Amino acid sequence: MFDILTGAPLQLTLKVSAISVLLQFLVGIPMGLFIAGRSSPLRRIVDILTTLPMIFPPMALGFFLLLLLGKNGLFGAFLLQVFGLRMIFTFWGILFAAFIVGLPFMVKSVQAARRQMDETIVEAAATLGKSPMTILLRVILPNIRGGVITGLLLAFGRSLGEVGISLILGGNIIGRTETLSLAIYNAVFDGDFQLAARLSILLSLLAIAVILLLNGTHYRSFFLNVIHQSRLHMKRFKKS
Amino acid sequence: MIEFSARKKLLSNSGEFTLSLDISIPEGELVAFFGASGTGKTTSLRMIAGLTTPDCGYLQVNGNVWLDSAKKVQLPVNQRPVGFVFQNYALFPNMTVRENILFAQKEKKEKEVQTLLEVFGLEVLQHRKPSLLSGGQQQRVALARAIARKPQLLLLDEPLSALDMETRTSIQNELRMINREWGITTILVSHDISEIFRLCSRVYSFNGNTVEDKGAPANLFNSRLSGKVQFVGEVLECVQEDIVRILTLVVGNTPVKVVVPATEGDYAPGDKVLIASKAFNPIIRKL
Repeated sequence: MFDILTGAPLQLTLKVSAISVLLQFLVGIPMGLFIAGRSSPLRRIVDILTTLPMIFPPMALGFFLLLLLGKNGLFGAFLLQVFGLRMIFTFWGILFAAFIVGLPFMVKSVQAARRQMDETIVEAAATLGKSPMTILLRVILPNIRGGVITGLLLAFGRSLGEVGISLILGGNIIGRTETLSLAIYNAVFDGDFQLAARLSILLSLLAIAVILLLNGTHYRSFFLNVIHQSRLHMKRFKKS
Repeated sequence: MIEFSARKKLLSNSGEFTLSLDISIPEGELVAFFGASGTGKTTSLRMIAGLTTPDCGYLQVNGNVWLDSAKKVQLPVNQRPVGFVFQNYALFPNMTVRENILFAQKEKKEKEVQTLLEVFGLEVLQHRKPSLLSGGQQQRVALARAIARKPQLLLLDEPLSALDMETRTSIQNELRMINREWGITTILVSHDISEIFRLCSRVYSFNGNTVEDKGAPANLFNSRLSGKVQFVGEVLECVQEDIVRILTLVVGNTPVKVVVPATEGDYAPGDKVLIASKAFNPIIRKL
């Protein structure tokens, strides 16, 4: 029953999800902020490129990526020669697939949150003598926090359920590039519905746990603020 | 002394026009930018702060050149020692009142923050977030934050327009106190003639393309009348009755009815008028 908890698919899924969410966080925020700026040809190109994995059929995208990242592909050859990195049928291919499908959700959420933000607070910070970096860290990021968390949740959900691109780039090699989603696919394909059900429940629990964790950090600061305000009111009430 | 000249193409309701201004503002004075909407008052304030770039211009503040298009000098906005109070207050929603003021300081000085909180009556509210404050309270925080920056120039973009009469008067007193105590040169964008009379020593009138230095507020608003008692009011309603017109005006917070001959000019709701009395007869002049 519990053998799936120690199996390679769970370990691989956890590893890939954790790294891809971290990468989506690091890459998605600057990209989202960049394309939220004033419209320019470069911004439009970046915007289209980041949106592509969201609307492009996964199998077709996987195939194009296979051509690009294969050892004879444009980027594949470069990565192999410069870094000695093989993308196809390896962990890196799985990671790239999880990263690329979730990234648009992160970028779009950050872009929307930044566009909704009142621009005068950024101008106010500049008139107070603050540098662009201070404004980013102290004003912009705290005020788009909701968008960042929503983006991470959506990106994580999409990456966790990724099958199409992982199948093509990873090759679905049991024990090496078989994620939980692919393990469910394999179990169904083999007619082992009991294993497929257990793996599906495990995958769902994993998704729910991360949603609760991310939402928890989002609402924790809200509740802490409410508790802090109530304490202050109580103190004032006692004084008076 | 502030020397400011600029040219900037702007778009108003009546089409494109070029704002052209060439003004000098004496140091330490509280002056007003007055004029109809869309004549470039806020844009001028933003050009001084460095938030908007003029097509060409020159700006010198207390001997330091902040902008010189001819020499391609343009001091970035974060290097201009200005305190800017925005029409919508622009407080940082993620910070408390105290943190908003602390953020404005170059070096953290808790004692100065405490003094500002006391001066602006914000001590009790210091740990609240801006979203939990009223408009008047937010305005006080915005002013305290602008002062905490220790600016050479305080720029106020219609800061009191959204407030009720009582709060407005209270903050007007604080503005006068700031100008008197700290001696900061202050530019106030305002449509409110009573506010300008009460606070400002000089008025710059924006008339579409040009800006004129009108000197003291009295020069601009009552140069054509000799009545001793006079008020500024706004037309609420104009009704034609045979050979007279009955104007409903609001003066301060009080509505009044005044009868004027039908032949005496056209009035529409929203028009600003000067009401004076001469030999017991009311005289109405459109401003």
